[in-house]
Amino acid sequence: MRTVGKSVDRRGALEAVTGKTLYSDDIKMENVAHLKVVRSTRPHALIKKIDTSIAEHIPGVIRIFTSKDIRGTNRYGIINKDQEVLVERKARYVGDPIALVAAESESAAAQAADAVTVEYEDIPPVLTVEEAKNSDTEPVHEKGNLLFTRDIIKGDIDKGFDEANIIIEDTYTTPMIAHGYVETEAGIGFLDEKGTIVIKVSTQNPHYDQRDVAAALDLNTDQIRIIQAPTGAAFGGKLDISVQGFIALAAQHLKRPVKLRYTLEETMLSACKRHAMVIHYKTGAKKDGKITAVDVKFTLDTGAYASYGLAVISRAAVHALGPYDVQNVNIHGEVYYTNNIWAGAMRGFGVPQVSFAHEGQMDSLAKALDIDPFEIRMINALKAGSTTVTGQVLNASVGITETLQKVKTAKENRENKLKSNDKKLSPWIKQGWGLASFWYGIGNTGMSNPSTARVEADKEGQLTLFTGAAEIGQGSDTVLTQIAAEALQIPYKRLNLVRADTGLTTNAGATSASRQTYISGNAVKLAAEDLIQKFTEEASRKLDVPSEEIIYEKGEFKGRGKSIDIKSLAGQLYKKGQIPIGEGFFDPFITMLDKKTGHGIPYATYTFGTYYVEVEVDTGTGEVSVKYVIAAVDVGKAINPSNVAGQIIGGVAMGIGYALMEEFNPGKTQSFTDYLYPTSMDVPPVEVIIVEDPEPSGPYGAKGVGEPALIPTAPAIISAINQALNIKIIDLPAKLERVMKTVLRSSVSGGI
Amino acid sequence: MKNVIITFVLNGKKMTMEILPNISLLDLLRDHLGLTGAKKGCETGECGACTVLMNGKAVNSCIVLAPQINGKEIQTIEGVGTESSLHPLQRAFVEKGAVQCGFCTPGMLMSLKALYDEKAKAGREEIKRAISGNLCRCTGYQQIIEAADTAFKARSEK
Amino acid sequence: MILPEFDFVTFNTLEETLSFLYRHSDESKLIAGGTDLMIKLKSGEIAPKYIVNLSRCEDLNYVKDNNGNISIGPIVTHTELINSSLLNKFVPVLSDAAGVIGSPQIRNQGTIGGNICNASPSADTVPALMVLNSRVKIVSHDEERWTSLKDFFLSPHQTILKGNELVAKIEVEKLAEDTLFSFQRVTRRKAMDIAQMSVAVALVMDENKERVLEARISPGSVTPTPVRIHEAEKILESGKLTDRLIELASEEISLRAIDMTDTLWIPEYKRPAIKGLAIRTIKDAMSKGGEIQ
Repeated sequence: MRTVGKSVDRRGALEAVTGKTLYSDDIKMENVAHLKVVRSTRPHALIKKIDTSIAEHIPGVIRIFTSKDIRGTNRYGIINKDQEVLVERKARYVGDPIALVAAESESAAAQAADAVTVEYEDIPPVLTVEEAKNSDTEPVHEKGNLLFTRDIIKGDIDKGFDEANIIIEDTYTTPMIAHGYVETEAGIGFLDEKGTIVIKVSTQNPHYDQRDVAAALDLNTDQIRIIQAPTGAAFGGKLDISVQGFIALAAQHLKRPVKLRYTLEETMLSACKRHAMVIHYKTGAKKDGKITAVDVKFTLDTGAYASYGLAVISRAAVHALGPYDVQNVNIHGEVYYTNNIWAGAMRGFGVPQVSFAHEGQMDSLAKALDIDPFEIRMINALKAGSTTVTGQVLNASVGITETLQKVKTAKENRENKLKSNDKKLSPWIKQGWGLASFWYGIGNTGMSNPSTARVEADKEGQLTLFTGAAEIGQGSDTVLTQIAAEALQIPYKRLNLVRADTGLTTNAGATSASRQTYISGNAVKLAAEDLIQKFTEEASRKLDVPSEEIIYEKGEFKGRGKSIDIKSLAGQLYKKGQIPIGEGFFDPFITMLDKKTGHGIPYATYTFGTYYVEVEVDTGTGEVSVKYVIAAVDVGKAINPSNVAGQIIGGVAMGIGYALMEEFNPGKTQSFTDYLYPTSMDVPPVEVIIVEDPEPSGPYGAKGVGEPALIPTAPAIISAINQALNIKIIDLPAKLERVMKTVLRSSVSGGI
Repeated sequence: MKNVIITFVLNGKKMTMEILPNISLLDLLRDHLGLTGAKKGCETGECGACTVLMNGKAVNSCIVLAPQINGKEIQTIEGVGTESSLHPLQRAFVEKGAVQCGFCTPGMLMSLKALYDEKAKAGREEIKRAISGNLCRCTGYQQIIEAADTAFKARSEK
Repeated sequence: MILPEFDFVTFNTLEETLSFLYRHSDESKLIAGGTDLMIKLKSGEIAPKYIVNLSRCEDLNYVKDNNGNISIGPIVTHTELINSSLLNKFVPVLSDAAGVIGSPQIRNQGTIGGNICNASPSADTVPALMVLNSRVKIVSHDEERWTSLKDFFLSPHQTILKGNELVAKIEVEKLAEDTLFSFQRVTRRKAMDIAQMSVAVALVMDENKERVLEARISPGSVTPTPVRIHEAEKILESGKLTDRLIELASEEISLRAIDMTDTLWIPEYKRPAIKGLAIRTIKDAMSKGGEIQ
């Protein structure tokens, strides 16, 4: 293959290294008004009065908007439409937007926002899942505090536990954490010559933005155009409506350019976070290591608004078992509203949480049964032909065992290499190594989530790929262009790209669920093939050769000794008043999960992997250093190996944070001063092993890697700390205080 | 509030400006000089996205008061290289996959340029330390370090 | 960033600066590097009428050898402390402490004067200065006075400086060239972090390198204002330096820190951890002396 499988230069890299990329806040416009949001300071309160009288008179203030100015439904939401652009009746968390100030300058807008006074009538808030469950005061939302439950039932759980020789039971907890993207939410909006509201914004899903904003503000979708501006990372935090609604509202009324950028403190306060979870996990297994029964009960705190709550709980339920073949499984999850900051999509969507639990269980089993950690996973691993927990038969591309084997070999090679230089450690430093495996379904859980794409030729034969897929740093611009270029048999650099602009592209679905390579990749490949087909038909006419006899090769259509190239064909079609367009549509083959049993085919394909981690623990201070990582992921096919490696290493870095230092405390965590995530000094060398067990339904065999890259990191680190200290940590993060506590409790002394 | 006059060198060019003093160097660059390469991230000196060089040393321009640059030399990413004439560090970044979302990239390059200009040779530990004030949530740093290492080695070999 | 309004004034000499401070003592704030000042301006914690820029005062910018001691000007940056061959030769504990502050960007901009005047209990240069018996010279338009570094601090984020005063000189003792130093801290991540706790140690050894003739220990981030733990120092000086002695001394540091502080200040974690850190620091100091065991 010419392009696929090669680490071609990333699209956009040249602009980035020369400082030319224009992110939303870099875009300058004349006569732009600055926006600032006024937010609730109460966790749960009726809005009795909004007094803007002083604020309105601050010099430079143009207008102050409240829910009264919203003409449409004032409702949006990625699944449940339970969120308002500006709250009307009550605020549900500290940070809920109440009013919007538009002013001539940033400082006037900020001053005015501070001068808006709100009269609240407090309603008792619920700040934990327990409180939400048991509360008898006004619920967060009308239908009650329980948002959703998800059950998966397979086999006979009681029989399974009867067969078990050993039972391991523990309750694991994981905290809320923040996405940590360095570019905060930002956008700029203006009216074009036709009066369409155009918004350039940092987003993961422009087509969704368009639909929801239009409905909320009573606009037709053709009255609003969303263009994804270069986006400074997202990790799931830029899927929900953030600045889009405010910008559209202000532009709609003021009819002039408006811009809004969240401060980092504002992002911390008001942007969604990762769901905190409590997972009660019971595993039964035979002496030989084969797991006979798994019973999981877990709860999620989705905070004030549903966002992706339904999807996270469903995905968490499906994945809670881990990449293992078990006959008897009961999984029950509940997601509750509270008056905390709302939780939504964050890289991994519930799986980083449940994998911490399922891998903690595997380690405990291995220890109790005295079976090697690699071995116990291989004994239970899914294979091609296995049936999953939801009753899906996996036909192909189940690389979990291969990742375990490759990591084991790499570990042994490393140990042999290190034998020669025996580093002498201080007596208070304890070393340990750990392992974790995972699986991750590609695409939205049990839902249709298609992608569309098209490839167009201009009259010179220059080809352009049009895709609605948003590039957020994960490399979709590059990878999708590679796939299309490969199918078109043209050099990668010769294919133009237009993407993520509702005025020019069609919906590719959100950049989430690690779906773009697999789903949009298929769509662009099909679009390329469709264009070739259309050209073939025209070539057949021009060359007077039946189309079955035409062969396409690298831009030329040949048959019976004659040939014609794309440029000529394109010219011909244009002369006839036709534009050569190839279209592609792909929706993964799935079935919805049964409400009672959770049975179904939630994903067309799964990515698998295993990570190995070495740590050193300073038992005198509780500090943990991650010293080495071996990361093996079965991605089906690495369209761009350097890209895949970059995602994996980035996922490892994020996982180090999740394992050791990240915690979001509503009300306390305010900025990067108190929210810490790994710096260059915190990330050790990462040995990347790309495993390719091709997915027959994937473009050139590819699956996905964006979220998989993160998932097994924290479980493997905790596993290593557990080994070093001969203890079991069941709460994340393993911060200084927790590690110290376990040191003091355990048999490991912190002495000299 | 009285205006102040600042005279400084910006990417090799001598500049004199009369400004209101209550503005950060970052905002001066982005809003008054049309240089948006330095990015606005945390605005508390904790992410490094705004890193520029002041007298050859990396600083967080978000917490430098513009009047402080009087008499100093400022270098921003715009002065490092262009698409047709990339600095070796920039080229290495492109070749080694060191860019993902790109938001931290200008700041990273400035921190690395300071090291590159100061030292003829730098090992990986030094490179790591030079970028320890630049947060990246995407790359995990390894390909960035690899790129810088490559650029240093290439220069040594010449 | 939205900043309040102020006038920015710069003088070329200390004298002119002090004269201005006298005339505008309670409406002025000094700026050297500015890393702390900018955060306070941004948050609204301060809104001074004047910001007085010290960076042109060359008489505040020096690292000088005065034979028995070394004097450092307040506007010397942390990077300059790290790179000073004089400091590295005689009092490396100070360069080491400066070397872990913040990030390269913060170290290039922040100054030693700013670090001590901000008076955060977790200021990294402070424990190092404490084991060097540091003294501070405070000047105003008509007066100058010296104080020990210990007495310079009143409470967290408060020093004895009056509105018309500034720190003109920071003096540190030069110990014997083979003094063993170490500065260690505990952080949540390995760069760009404030110390959860820190320990600075200076050990003057006897000829045989078996006994400590003089021990100096100062913990950081565990007491509201900086201290030396004399009880622990005495333990280290009490006999042949053994692991047992080190452990006892480190235990003492933990106990004394708790005594000196409201236990709220020392969360449960810090009790055992300061001991562990002290052991690590003393051992690290010893390892620099070559063969000591």
